[in-house]
Amino acid sequence: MTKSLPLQGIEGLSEDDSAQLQTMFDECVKREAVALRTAIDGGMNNIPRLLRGPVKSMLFR
Amino acid sequence: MSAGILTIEISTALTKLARTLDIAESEVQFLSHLDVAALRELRWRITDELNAADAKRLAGVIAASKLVPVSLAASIGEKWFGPVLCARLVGLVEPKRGGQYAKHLSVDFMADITTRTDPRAVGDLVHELDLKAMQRIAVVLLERDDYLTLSHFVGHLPPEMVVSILAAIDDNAAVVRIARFVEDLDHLNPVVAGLSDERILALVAAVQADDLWVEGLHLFAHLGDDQIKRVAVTLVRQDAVAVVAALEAFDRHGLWDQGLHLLETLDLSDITLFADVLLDLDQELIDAVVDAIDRSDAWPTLIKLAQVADDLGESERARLREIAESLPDKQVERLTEAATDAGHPDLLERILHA
Repeated sequence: MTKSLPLQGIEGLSEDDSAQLQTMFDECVKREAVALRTAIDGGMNNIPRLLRGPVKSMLFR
Repeated sequence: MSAGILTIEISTALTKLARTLDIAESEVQFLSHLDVAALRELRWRITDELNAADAKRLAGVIAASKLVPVSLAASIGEKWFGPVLCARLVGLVEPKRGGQYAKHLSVDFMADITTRTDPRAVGDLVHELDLKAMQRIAVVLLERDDYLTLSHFVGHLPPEMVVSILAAIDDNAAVVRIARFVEDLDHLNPVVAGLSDERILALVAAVQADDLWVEGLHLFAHLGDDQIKRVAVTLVRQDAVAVVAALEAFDRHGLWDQGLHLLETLDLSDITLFADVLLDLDQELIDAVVDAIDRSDAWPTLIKLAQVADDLGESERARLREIAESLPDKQVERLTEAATDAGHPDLLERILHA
């Protein structure tokens, strides 16, 4: 479960609208998280072996 | 605001929201009942939440990227990270380093990043980018008909930079379409101020040729008085036919507020230049202009035209008399009243005996 979107005070937004938006937002966050993991794995495999340790520690500290 | 303009604004706001969520526009149509301000607020809040979602991990990516050569980091960015994640990094990267990365990225990829970038995050990075590179990105986006992305940055770049980028875009209709999507139209004024008179004329010609009057007049209405006057005077002095086309468009699209504003900005010498064209309008259009003036109580515009009557040729004076004589009694009363208030109590008499 991702963070709740702060939708209070947006005029005209119904509960149904808010629920649909939250679902879309959750899916978007999930897609981006997967893309980020894939990108980091791909990037790690493409940097010189010597740098992988320091880079990894920066990425996952 | 006309229904056409409102539809444009809502549809633009929905398109931007769909892009933020990386989904098809059809998926956000359920929000079309919201007004533009609500849709804009919604988009900024979602953007902020998305930026925050992976902020820690992305900060790690930025830190790690400093350990590898710039060209390698750029290559990994283009090959593995892709435009969506790189767009998230735009606001986190040090501007100088960002400028160095840009030198190693393809124009197509930078255009992809630009499409996904939160324009508020760009900041000083734009000062580190080569103008030619930005122009090339703009041209690529234009080739993709991506007016929305180009418009997104107008309010977030210095106006002189926008003018320089626009210099690379020779499709004037495209420039109008880009401007149509600009969120805060107040930002257009300094940009228009930086355009040459020739470019202004070319833009109006494109509006005429592509029938972009709704978009064009909407933008025109948001200019400051200084630029409205400049555009009006430029047109009157160099292309009076375009002014007539504009007046016809004001009438066709029910945008007389903008039309009267254009006429109001002209001073007496410009009105004299333009009087023969104005008086040559079809009676139907003349009636529409006078009715709009009456509705908005904008009589000073007509008073200005009457004031230059003595400088007109015989046929123009005769036409002015004809128009004055055709006014309904109530309009004559209101015109006389307004002329008296403006210090010209004998105005109508002067017209009738000019």
